[in-house]
Amino acid sequence: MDKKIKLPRARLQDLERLHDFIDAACREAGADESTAYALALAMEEACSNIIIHGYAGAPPGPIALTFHASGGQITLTIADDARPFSPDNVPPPDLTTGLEERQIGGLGWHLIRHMVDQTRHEFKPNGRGNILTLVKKFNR
Amino acid sequence: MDIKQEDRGTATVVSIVGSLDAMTSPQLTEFLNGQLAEGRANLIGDLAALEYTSSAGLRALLNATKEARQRGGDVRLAAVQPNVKKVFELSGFTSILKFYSDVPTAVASYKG
Repeated sequence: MDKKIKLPRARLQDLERLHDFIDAACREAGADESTAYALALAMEEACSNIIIHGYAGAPPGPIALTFHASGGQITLTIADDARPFSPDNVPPPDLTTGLEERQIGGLGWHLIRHMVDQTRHEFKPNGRGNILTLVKKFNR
Repeated sequence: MDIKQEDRGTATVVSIVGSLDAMTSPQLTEFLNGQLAEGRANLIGDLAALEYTSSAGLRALLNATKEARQRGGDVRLAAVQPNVKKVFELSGFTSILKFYSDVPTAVASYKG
């Protein structure tokens, strides 16, 4: 099965629509609850990064999600027109510091990597935007 | 997301119902800051009906915990559901926040 949603001008308040999309798609695919949670979390971390950082200093831009499920595997792609961004450059968060020193930065990507089985990032060919592909195997 | 608050002795139970995401977590921050400003520093987050949190929700709870501890109190979490608990664990939060199996145990932790 394939499902798509595209928001021409994504804002934080649109996250609810994107969550509804992931919930419905996971139900349709017959994915279990923890798979649906993991994909919702990975999607939110990626999309809120795009909205807050990717389009920072610019008008809200598009985010397109493509959900593909087959053979017990879900492939979610998240495409934007935001500034090129490389997740490989995000340092892992320090999870050992005490409360006062604890930083939240980098936690989003840390969670994305734990929530799915595979992440793949590519720049759009025209140099404007990113395509993130998340792959997760699931139980029915 | 819905937030309800109830005083239990020296502690204040804040029940968070639904989803904590980048959109809703600022409401939680505002609510908890309001409680702290009113002198309620012994806070308990009742997460029995919290179905989802992202890192935005963790940020709100972390900041409130820092504020509460500076005021001699704390934010202690009760009845955290497994999917949500996993996010706390993966984020290394289980070493800096205190977790309790249910609300009465968390309330009792503030006594004595």
